[in-house]
Amino acid sequence: MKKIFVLMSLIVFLFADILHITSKKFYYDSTKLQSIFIGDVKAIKNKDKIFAKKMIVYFDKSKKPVKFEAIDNVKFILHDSNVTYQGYCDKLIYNFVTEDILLLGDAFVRKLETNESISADKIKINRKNKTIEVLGDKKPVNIIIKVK
Amino acid sequence: MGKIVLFVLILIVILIYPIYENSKISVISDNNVSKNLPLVKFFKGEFFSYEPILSKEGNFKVLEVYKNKYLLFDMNVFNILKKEHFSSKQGYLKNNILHLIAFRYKNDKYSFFSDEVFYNLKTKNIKGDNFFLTSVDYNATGRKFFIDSKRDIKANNISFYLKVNK
Repeated sequence: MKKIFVLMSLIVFLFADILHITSKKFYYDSTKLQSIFIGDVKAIKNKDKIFAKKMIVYFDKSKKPVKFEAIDNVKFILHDSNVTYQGYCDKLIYNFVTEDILLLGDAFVRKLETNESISADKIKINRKNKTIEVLGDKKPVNIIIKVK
Repeated sequence: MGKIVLFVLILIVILIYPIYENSKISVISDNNVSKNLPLVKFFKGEFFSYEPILSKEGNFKVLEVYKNKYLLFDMNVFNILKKEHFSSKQGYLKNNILHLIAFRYKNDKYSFFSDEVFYNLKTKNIKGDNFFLTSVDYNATGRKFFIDSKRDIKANNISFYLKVNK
């Protein structure tokens, strides 16, 4: 019976966009409406991959995901149409509604196709508008653009 | 007979204890309700619980009463007011620990399955192994889990599938 339900739910999920998170430990805080993943956290959505030591998923009152935070030793690879971003940071915040990705603390992003890179304290990637905004304040911003 | 009623009452209380979230219960006035209704009624392998109106009903195939333990096989409990369904292949009560095998819980929002559940009657903590949780917005599977009396959950080796906007 359990296998049938697993299969049925997987079929339903097959037609949706799914964020798959795995970790060694999990904690759900019913008061704060947070799911906390600790230890070897892997988050995969389509071709996008995020690795971290800790991840917190925030839900609204109707149990819909609002945003997640990947914390500590964050590494990521994100794919948009014809563009691949690879990088690392101390903290990554992904907003499910706006699709903004905020990279905080020693953030570094490289476009694999062009080898252009940015490093700063704060970098904001908007996947809807396909823009990257650098918000560095303490650390100087480094932008490397390949010229012909 | 008193022990059986007590056991079934304990089972009902334990099983209605919400694992994650409760749906709101509609408040029903007990005016116009007969005061002669029993607390629990057994009828041909089925039982009916009145609080004060019929609130829970269920059935089981076998109930075995021993000197120091109780065994219940193929049990189903329906909480009519909360629209919840609990089932277990085997229930075993000894020393304040209720051990349920092939446990299943379902409400209108999610379903929860576990191979093995241990409920501590004193601490009201639930722990178990190998669980599967499914709902409209998320699925999760994991190994050892622990649910405290505040309904917070801890689990190991989790695999969590969350439906997100495209």
